[in-house]
Amino acid sequence: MLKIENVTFRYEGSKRPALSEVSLEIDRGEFLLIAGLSGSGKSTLLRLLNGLIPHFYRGEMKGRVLVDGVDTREASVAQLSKKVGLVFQNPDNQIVTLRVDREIAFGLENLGLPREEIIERINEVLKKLGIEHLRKRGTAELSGGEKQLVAIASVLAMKPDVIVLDEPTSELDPFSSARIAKVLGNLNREGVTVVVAEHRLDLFAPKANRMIVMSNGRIVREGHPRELLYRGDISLHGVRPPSVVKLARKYGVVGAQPLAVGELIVALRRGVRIDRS
Amino acid sequence: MIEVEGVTFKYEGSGMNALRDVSLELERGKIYGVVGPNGSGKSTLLRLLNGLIPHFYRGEMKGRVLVDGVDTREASVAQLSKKVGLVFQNPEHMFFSETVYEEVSFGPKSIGMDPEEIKESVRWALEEVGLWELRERSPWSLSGGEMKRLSIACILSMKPEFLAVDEPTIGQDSLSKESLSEIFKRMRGEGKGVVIVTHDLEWLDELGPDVVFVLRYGVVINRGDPKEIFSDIRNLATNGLIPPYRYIVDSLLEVG
Ligand SMILES: Nc1ncnc2c1ncn2[C@@H]1O[C@H](COP(=O)(O)OP(=O)(O)OP(=O)(O)O)[C@@H](O)[C@H]1O
Ligand SMILES: Nc1ncnc2c1ncn2[C@@H]1O[C@H](COP(=O)(O)OP(=O)(O)O)[C@@H](O)[C@H]1O
Ligand SMILES: [Mg+2]
Ligand SMILES: [Mg+2]
Repeated sequence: MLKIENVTFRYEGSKRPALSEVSLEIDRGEFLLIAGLSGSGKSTLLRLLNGLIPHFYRGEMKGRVLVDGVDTREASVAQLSKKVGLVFQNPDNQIVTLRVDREIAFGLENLGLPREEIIERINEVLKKLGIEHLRKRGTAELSGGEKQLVAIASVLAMKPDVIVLDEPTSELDPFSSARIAKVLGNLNREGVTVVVAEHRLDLFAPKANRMIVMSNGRIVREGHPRELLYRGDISLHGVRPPSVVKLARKYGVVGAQPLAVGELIVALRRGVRIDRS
Repeated sequence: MIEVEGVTFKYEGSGMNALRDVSLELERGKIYGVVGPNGSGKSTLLRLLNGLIPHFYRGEMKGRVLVDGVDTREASVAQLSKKVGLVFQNPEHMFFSETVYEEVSFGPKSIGMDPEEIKESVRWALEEVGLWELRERSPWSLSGGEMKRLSIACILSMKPEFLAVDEPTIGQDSLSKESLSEIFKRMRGEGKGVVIVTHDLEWLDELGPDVVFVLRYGVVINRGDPKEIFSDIRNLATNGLIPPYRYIVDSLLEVG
């Protein structure tokens, strides 16, 4: 349903392309995890998916991007955003209104939903993310993590077919991060396509059916997270396996290849060769 | 030394205290970790250290903060910023220069460093955070992680004696996280005081702070040696935190 065909993109004023000859297909119902060093092109790739590139970012683009068969150049960002919702890396760049409930209503009004439906969706998403207490708060007065949750909520409330998130847990505490991972996992099980760029592989690798690693504007690895994280050579591209994988190696439970801390604990409990070095 | 003495702070228009009767001392030559759930008051605590509170943020403040014996209310933020450098959680809206290089030169100029020293200091700061190559770029054209490191360089270049960094690992990959750790440890070695707010307890554990403060609802509910704090899994969990995984695994192996 999302198809990036041989895209090269150079931001105006910059010498090097931020993406070079990138091709990627994302099917309906996938949970795709994107890893890679800072500056490797993750955000740029995500900006292609909802048309921010080339509509809002100036630069030179080769190749094309298809969303349900439609070339993103031929559609407006407003049309695309009904299908593909993007949560920005920095919530400050996304939040446009002065109060939390209005912020979430903003996108819903643009969808032309009736008032009752809007209210219902606001209630639902605030509850889902555990931020009902923020409903009437001023957006400028939120802590960083609270802002990030509101930014996520406002995209989730629109119920797009594809949810794209750019480092969504960077400012979240452990419980909120786990909650976001869980909410995304559940949505994915209901059929929503999820694309996440993250450094926190421990949270999302267990949910993802596919992972890609980016380096210098190219996709340099692709596969199931288990395969990529246990094969080890992704560290060539600066991506370190998460703690769970390190601990699994340390205690010799590599055979079970746990990705989530829960899986590691189960493997340890089963006593798979516990080596107390 | 920075002494926070019985500080309670409520932002104007807010119904709740963001900090409640917080007292703590920060010395040179140490790294302090500040952890706590979202909204627990971590950033608010940092804003006290260089006088942003009460000078720039309106609200009601009780108690006092002394930086080397000087009450922050009696000093200007400009004076304080020579001693205490604060890197904001989301700094990108504060960039205003055409190039990365100019952005990092601004702070040292504004505190009256001499031109030769500024040159040296700017280059050193940009090299520390791995942005020297990008010095001619516009700050706005950087990736999120690069912007965060730029904001760290902006403060490093001023050579403050205390460095307070709000969520340094936002947008950072594992390599840049390691190099940030190295920077902070070097500063500690040089006798600077370093205060780090972070949700990334795995990284904080590897950094190895001397003291950890745990905040919740604006109260410092726990403080001390990181090993002790992190091994008290139950206490952390009831306060909305999860310790580094190795502590969880260790405790399981001990029980099992
Ligand atoms: N400028 C402000 N005006 C009013 N209230 C604020 C302001 N900044 C923060 N608050 C509130 O004060 C409390 C503490 O916020 P603070 O930013 O210190 O939290 P934090 O621990 O840094 O959270 P996070 O981990 O999400 O960054 C929160 O309830 C927050 O909503
Ligand atoms: N708006 C922009 N203008 C110019 N260059 C940019 C812009 N955004 C990102 N870049 C550059 O493009 C490259 C890829 O950046 P980005 O996609 O943000 O990386 P990531 O998200 O993986 O950290 C980097 O070299 C970055 O500096
Ligand atoms: Mg990015
Ligand atoms: Mg904060």
